[in-house]
Amino acid sequence: MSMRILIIDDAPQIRRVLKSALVARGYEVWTAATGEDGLEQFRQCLPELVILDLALPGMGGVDVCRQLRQSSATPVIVLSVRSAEGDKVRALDAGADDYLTKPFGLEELLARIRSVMRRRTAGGMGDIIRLGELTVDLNRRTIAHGAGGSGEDSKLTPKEFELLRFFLANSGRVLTHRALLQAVWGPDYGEQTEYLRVFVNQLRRKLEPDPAQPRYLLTEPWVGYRFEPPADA
Amino acid sequence: MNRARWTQLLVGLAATVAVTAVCRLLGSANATTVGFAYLLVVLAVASWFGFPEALAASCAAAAQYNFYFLPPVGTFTIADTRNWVALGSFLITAMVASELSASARRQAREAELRRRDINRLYELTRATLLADPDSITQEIERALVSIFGFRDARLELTRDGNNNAAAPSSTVWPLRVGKGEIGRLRIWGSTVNQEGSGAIAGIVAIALERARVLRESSHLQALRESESLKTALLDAVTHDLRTPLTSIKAAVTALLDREGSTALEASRGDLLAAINEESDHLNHILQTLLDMARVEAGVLRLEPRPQSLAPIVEAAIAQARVDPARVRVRLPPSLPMAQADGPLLSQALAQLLANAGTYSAPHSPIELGAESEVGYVTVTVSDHGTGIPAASMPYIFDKFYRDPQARERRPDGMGMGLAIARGIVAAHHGTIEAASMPGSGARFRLRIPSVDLPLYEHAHSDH
Repeated sequence: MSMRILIIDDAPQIRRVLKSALVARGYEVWTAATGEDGLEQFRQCLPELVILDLALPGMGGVDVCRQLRQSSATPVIVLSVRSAEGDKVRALDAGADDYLTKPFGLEELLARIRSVMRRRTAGGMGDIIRLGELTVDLNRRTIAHGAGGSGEDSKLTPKEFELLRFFLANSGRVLTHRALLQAVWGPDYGEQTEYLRVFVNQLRRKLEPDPAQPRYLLTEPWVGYRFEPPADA
Repeated sequence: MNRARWTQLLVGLAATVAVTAVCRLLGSANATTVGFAYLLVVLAVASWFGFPEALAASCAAAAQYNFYFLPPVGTFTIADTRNWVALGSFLITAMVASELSASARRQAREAELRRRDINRLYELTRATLLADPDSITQEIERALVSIFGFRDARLELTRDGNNNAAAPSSTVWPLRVGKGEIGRLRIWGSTVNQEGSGAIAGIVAIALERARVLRESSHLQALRESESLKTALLDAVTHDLRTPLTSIKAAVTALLDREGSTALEASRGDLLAAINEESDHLNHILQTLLDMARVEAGVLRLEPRPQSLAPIVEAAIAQARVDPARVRVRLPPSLPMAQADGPLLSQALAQLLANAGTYSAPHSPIELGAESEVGYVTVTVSDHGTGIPAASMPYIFDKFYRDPQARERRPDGMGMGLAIARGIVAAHHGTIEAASMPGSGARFRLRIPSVDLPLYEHAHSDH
């Protein structure tokens, strides 16, 4: 059975191009031009994924996202433009799974769709994770070098461990600064992006083959971070 | 009659008594001399105090003259008929003279009052004509109160529609220009007569009208300027947008052309790549225009908060599309935070990096450094290109300005990058400046207000 995707965007050309491109890739595509119509269609077709433009007339995309989340856990990918970082963060905090900045290439969209869906079926990762040459053991809180986990170990501090565990549980997903701070430091936090920066850099030094060019712990400028799982995981 | 008038009356009477006393004491004075002495006193009273006092003084003088000096002395009877004539002429002379001098005095006072009125009107004219057209109503109201001593003054303009009729103990003067009434002037505690109020209302009406015309003409001027700006912008943009659109259209029509399709098969990839690149180019133009428009309109909505420079620099390098390996970043570890809007500031910095990349040799390094000054963080971006010609230096931050040399190197530039960067920095209350030595590259320097905050204490307490 083909996967069903609902596209909510007010621009007819974008609906048309996305629909024909996604149908050609074997997806079943429904479309809606407004947020209100989108919510209605959502109830009717029960899609497995929603692609949602943030700049909708009338009911805005962030509100649509919030309403969808009240009744469903269906993954949502939001579409936004540059210089609207605030909207992206609000949408992600309202429950969106990922975002794409317009204009984007189809390959990028397909990769995000695959990543979101894989996450959905796979859930979080196990307790022992292989990252290239590294083996992360969440039970022992260690990172071992070498394939067999027999190499030199490095220890994680409690906060680093909390942070890494949250990244792994939400692997592939864009996590906003606020979401990360509140998950690891507590509900009083949200603005202290500097703490995060320091800890993410410490984790990168322990995890990344080249901390200056991170492969797993990626920065989403002005929005947050994303843990990109290795392709074979 | 008030107390002062009574006092004046008594002083007048006392003066006649004094003349009588002096002449009696001297004894030798004849009747004519005494008569002239009385006349002098009456004249003095008339010109100092006024007609009623002079009248009383002349009656008193006549009585004393008769009693003490006209024979038979010591009675009010007059023996000689000639003395009747003398007394009568004294009385008439005294009264006519006092009336004349009192009226001269009155005229002098009126002239003084008129002079004061004219002076006040002049002051009002000055105050209202010099007033700023935008705050004209308040300034007029203030001037009326301070110059004329009214308790309060309020302009009720017809165009504002606030004709609140119920304002007790105030007088209302209509303000007219030509035949139309443009509003009303409401005054509390007015001491001005009909004529004065007409003059004041006239001046106020003219001042209001003048302000209105000034406002309209400056508005027109601004409109005209922004129109010509729009036209220039439109010309530039049309050209910039049409170039990529032309390539896209050509490539797409070539791909759609079925007849030539077999011959095309080889260049298919090239055409698609061109479409892809040109779309990116269009997107870049669009973003630049949008940024410029936001800077121009002064609607950059800054969300400044304490930011460390590192993420701003990272984002700028990622955004600038220069080879990251060319950028040598040197940030001192103890740099204070900048009070900045992260995405916007990194955009300004990206602009400088992109320029540095474009106007220097392909693999030459670009240096990005930072240091702290009192109250500021400064960031410098230097390249090793050919630098900025001195003749272009004053204009490089101007919108649309393109150095001839730059035009040659990058014909598709829009001349907006540095104008946008300057707009963003200015919105941060910072400064941007350029320096260049011929042949040794360009160096741009940003100064952004800093915040002094303890940085990593909390974060490190985990260890």
